[in-house]
Amino acid sequence: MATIDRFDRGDRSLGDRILDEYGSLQGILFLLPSLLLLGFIVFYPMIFNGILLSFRQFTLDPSLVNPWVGLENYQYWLFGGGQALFLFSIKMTLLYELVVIPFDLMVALAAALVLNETLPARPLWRGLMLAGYAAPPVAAGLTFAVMEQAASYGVVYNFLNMFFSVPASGGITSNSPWAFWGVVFAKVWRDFGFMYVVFLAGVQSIPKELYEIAKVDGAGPVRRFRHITLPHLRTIIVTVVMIRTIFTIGKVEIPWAVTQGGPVNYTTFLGVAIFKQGFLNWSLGRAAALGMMFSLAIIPLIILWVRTETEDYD
Amino acid sequence: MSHETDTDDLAANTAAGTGTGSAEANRAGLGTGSGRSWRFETARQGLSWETHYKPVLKYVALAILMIWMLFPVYYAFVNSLKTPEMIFTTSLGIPFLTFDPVAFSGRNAWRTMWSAFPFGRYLLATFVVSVGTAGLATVCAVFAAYSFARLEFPLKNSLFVLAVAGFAFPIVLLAIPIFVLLQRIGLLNTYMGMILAFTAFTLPYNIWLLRGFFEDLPENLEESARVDGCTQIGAFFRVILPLSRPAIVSVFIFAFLLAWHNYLMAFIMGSDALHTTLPVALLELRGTFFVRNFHYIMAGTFLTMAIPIVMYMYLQKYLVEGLGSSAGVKG
Repeated sequence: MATIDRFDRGDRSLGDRILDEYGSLQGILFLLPSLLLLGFIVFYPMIFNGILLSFRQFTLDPSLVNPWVGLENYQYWLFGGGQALFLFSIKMTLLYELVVIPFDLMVALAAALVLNETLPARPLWRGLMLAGYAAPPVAAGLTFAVMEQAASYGVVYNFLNMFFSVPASGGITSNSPWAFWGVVFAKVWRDFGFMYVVFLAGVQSIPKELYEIAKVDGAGPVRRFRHITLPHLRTIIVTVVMIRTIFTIGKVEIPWAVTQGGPVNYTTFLGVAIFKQGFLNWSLGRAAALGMMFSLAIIPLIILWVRTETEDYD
Repeated sequence: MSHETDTDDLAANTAAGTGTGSAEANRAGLGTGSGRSWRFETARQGLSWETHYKPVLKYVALAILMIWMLFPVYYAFVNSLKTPEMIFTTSLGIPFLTFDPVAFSGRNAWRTMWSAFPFGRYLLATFVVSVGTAGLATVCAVFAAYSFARLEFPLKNSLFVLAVAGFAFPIVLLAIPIFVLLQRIGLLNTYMGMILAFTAFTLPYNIWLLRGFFEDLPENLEESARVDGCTQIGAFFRVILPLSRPAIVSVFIFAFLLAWHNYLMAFIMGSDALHTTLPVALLELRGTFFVRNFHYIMAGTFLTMAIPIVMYMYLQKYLVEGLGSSAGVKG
């Protein structure tokens, strides 16, 4: 604001003049609480503790001295005993992304299109569609875990069992190819709401006249969708897919609640692997090393996303 | 007669005026022979979708989506009203609300869950952390976002990019270093530590959302307030803040829900009984006597889901505005 008021400096109060002179100071002051918090909780631990921890053998036992071990933690994952899990969890994480994101996208788009139609009590339906997104991931995952048991109450199991033969011992959550899908069902149910809201806003911003003109020209519903709806949503889809990809990689809650990373390590995606290593085996050094490697992989993605988001800003 | 040709010409003009679309329609209509009948043909096709299929299909689609969305919530609720024995005799796993006197007597999970497990304390801890986070995050984010949107200071753009990038960084990668840090300074197992951590996680998104909102407000609002004798800070409090209520409300809810939803950090930082939040308690319950505590787990799950869902329903309009405007709809 300092720039606007330069011309009328004459009849301004002393306080305002001080503010103008020190406009930049005020900007920093307003920012200070946030910067302190972010620096203290996010950047300082990330840079100092995170990097340093990954070079130590770190446990919480106070009698141990937590010795420096150099690259041993990295070696463990890349060439040592953790190699198999490391490679496997990378593979499963990629697979998870490749299944969850398109699944999310399709359901969200369908929901947005349906709820953009004129319906009685539409605001109610629009709100109820967000039930999954409002539910905590752990509660959603737990409900799905219960529904996926091979038991009288396991509704998802019973339903799937009509078409496929899922082994009865352990149900969906403890048998290897099924557990993955068990996590995916819960994940899509809980997470598609974000994309749905964004698509709903996007669909609403398409001018109605375009559809009217297309109708006059004889374009059917499929064509109208392909030539009007999709092109209008293209940038939104790209952004949202990017956001969801980044956010899905590191999420622990749903896989943890549904399968706890099992059977064995079948649904131990990278985030779950870090969590298990750190807070179940309590070998924080190894977990930090895995986290550092993971960060190196994810930072380019984040930079790409931030650059597309702030393009108009610079 | 002349009236009819008039309207026909008008329709033909409209169709011709819209370029490629009409060319395609013409091509599609070629099979029927004359220029007159393609218009008739397409109109009829359009009508059959618009009048016959769409009105039915949209309700079918809505019904499928709603059943899919609400079933798990319904499942948790109805099963929470039953005794474990009743749950284990459900057919196909689809529970129905039966008014069984046993379920509504003293064995009902909703009556006994508070004494069987400290659900009251879980609920309180979750509320304290969520409200604290929401309050602190909203205040910090309002000032920071205003600063990014309207004030000038060095390194503004770099700081903004840094703040937003923090949002995308997975919490699990921060969990270990934060745990070690909080342990060292004695903030482990305190509400303060949890609130500070959750606030830091939710801040980047809140700042981003609010900055977008502040930037969309016309600058001459503050200008005219200052002509009327407000100071810059006065203009901020008296003009900008009241106008930003929807955005501020959605930021508050987001921060509240982030804290309410979070399992990972709550598990790490609040491991003692006093600081156990509902998501953490739920997964602990799952491990202990899963079968015997089935109805308690369902009741706890429903409770944990229902409170944010009710909040969402109530504030749906604000939230849709907030989310929709933030996540790339503008760009």
